[in-house]
Amino acid sequence: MNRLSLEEGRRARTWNLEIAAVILADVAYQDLGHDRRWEGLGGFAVDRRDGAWWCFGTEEGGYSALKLVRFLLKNSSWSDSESWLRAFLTQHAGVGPCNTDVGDDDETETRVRISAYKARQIRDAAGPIDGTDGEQYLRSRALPPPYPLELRWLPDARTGEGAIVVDLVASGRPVAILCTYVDALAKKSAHRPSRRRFNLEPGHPGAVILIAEREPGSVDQTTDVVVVEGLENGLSIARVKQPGWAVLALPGINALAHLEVER
Amino acid sequence: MIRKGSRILDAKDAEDSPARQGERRGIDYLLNASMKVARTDTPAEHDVNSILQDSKQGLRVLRRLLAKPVAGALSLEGRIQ
Repeated sequence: MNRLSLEEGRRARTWNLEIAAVILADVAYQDLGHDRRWEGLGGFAVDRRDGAWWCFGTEEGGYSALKLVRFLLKNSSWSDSESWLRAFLTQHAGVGPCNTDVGDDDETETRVRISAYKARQIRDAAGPIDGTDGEQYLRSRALPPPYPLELRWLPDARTGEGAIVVDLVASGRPVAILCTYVDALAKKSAHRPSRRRFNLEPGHPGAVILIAEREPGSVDQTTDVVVVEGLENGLSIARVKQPGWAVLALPGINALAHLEVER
Repeated sequence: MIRKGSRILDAKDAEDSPARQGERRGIDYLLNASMKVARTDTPAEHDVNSILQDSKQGLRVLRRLLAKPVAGALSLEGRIQ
């Protein structure tokens, strides 16, 4: 049986609330803020905006409708879960009610937990970038190795796509990861979002990719810090870096207004 | 943590980038935090990586772009804050 395509997976996710409602038809629930929480399941909740789900008891969750079905059917086989989901989707045409975009900086409790769970999962699963589609993609952007920071590669980041994984740092420690999605042809993903942040801990909107630090004892005549948006631009600046520069790459331009600065 | 009074160069995308408003807010924030901010004068429809990708001239053009920044100034909204 074929896996769901990226588009099918996305459509399925918009139905997560309804999927949970069907499987948990006999279980009482409450709507709390953005979440719908079912009783007696160890704190199982679905975000009504975009279908993100989380179980506080087992610390499992994410966005995938297929994993949701497997979780709610008490860890049935992938094959059975997929059959169930395909049957559901056949009966439910079009986009479901969970079709609102929620920003990576959303800090409701369920989102914070999902984000940290995904970040830990991705960090554990990602391996060296050498010889991968990620490295090939960077070469196509005139960015061959070696790289000034650790870049990692997650082969199955989402259906049909891998991701280059880097740490985002704040207060001197990794507080999030940034995935830059790359398709099977080693090109930047044409699907949105083309990059996504997962927070290990909340409350760091100014976290950055530390591309390179200033070399100790070096002072540049005009510049101390070069700031740029995106991994590719940060690695580009590293090619022409002066010893007196620190180079920071932002995960998105809005992080510029949250950089950690001394006051 | 960026030290007070640091000289920050924003190697920005071209002026017509949709991220322009977020960037303006960021520059206002840094200037109001006593940083010295300059911006690259990035050509239309380019960013630093697209400049680098020119195999013959990329590195030279990128170095020149970074060597000739323009001073960042507070926007109207930034002056009001």
